[in-house]
Amino acid sequence: MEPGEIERVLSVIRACRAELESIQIAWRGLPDTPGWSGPSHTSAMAALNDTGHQLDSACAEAAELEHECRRDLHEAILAEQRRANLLSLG
Amino acid sequence: MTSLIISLPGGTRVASEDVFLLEQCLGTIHTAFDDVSQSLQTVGGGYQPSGLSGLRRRVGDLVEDVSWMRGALHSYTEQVAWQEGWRRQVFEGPRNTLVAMWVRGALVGPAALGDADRDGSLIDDAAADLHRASGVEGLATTIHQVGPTTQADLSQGVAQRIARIPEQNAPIRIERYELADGSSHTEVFIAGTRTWDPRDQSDPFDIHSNLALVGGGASAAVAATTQALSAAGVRPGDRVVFVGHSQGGAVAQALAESGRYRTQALITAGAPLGGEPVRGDYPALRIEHSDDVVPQLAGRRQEGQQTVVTTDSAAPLLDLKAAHSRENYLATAKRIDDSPLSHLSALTSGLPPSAEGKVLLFDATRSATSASPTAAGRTGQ
Repeated sequence: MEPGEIERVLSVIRACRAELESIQIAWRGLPDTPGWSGPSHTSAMAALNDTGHQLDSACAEAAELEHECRRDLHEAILAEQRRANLLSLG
Repeated sequence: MTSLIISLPGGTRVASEDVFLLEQCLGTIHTAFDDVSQSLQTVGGGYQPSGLSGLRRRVGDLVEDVSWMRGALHSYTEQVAWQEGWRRQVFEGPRNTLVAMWVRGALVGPAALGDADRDGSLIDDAAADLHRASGVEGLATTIHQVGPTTQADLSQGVAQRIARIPEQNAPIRIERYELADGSSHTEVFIAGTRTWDPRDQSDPFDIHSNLALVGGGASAAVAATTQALSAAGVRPGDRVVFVGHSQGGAVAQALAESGRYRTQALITAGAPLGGEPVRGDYPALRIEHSDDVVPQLAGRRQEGQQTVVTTDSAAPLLDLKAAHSRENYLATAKRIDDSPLSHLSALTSGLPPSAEGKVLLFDATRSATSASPTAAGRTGQ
């Protein structure tokens, strides 16, 4: 795989991860809703809580994906260097 | 201090500030998730890291979840609006009918009570009856400028405008601005009732004008303000922002709705406007304290294009004067300006950002009145 192609994907993943982390901060700052009570409030709060956990998981997955891309990029660069070395020896 | 309760134009959605704010924040977050989702879709070609499809699914689920929550919040605010409409119909409707029956019964006699479920069932009809009974029908007013013309910067937001509602010695304040594009912009600020004694018929800002305004009739206070606007050089079709407290709010709305001027915005505080909806297509903010009786005096609220913000005044219990005071409405206006809610900031965001202009203060007197008031109970006999 071309390092350039992996770099392009990595930059997208990095931007997505940054965006997800800023959403995570915004999510933690969502306003309290003392003016809203009753069963609909309870179920909505449960849904908000659940979505907050989903968001945490998405952030972790984005971090893993970024790590995976970096690793692949590193391997692709090494492979390219090996190819170049072989060509120069040949 | 309770939350700001906000009723959006048309009365279709009602909720406290925090609920609308949660919906607004979720809207921003939804857009951000959507952007992430679309970015992930752009990753294609030969390189597909193994964790990509899982993250795509996860973010797709988040987009759907947040969308669902926004929809649920939207439905909740509609449901609250429906319940509020029902509450007003059940509780405020009969109260209005009782008050109207009492007024009509006192003025016209028991025979009128049979009409209670028709013309006389609303407080505005009762107010019109009372106004007719007072015999004060003259609209001729004389205005005069109070003090010299001064300079001012254009107000920003709601609180600065409420703060500019004048003292009662000069109940009409007019600010004229020339904008950078060469157009003119006017803001008029109108004070509330000044004369409460019904025997005193010299003041357009009196109890008779209150009754006329609530009854939907022509009011000397409106006539005086129109005259002051003309004296300040404001012509029909000019762009005007109307701001008023108490009776001044009712005058402001009457002028904003008159079609005479190109209304840019209407801001009223503690005005007896319940039965008078805003029909025009301009931003209209109505601030009401839940412990202030004056907004209740005009009867059950009719939904219109106005955004209504209700909260308690933070005045001591049963201190009706403090609940209605301009100072306490100013404190509420500051809370409105401080709110990050776009529904509220949008009400003044379309107004010119800055300008320097001139300020004219006016006082008014009635220049002609009809015969002395007829005693209540004898009218119509």
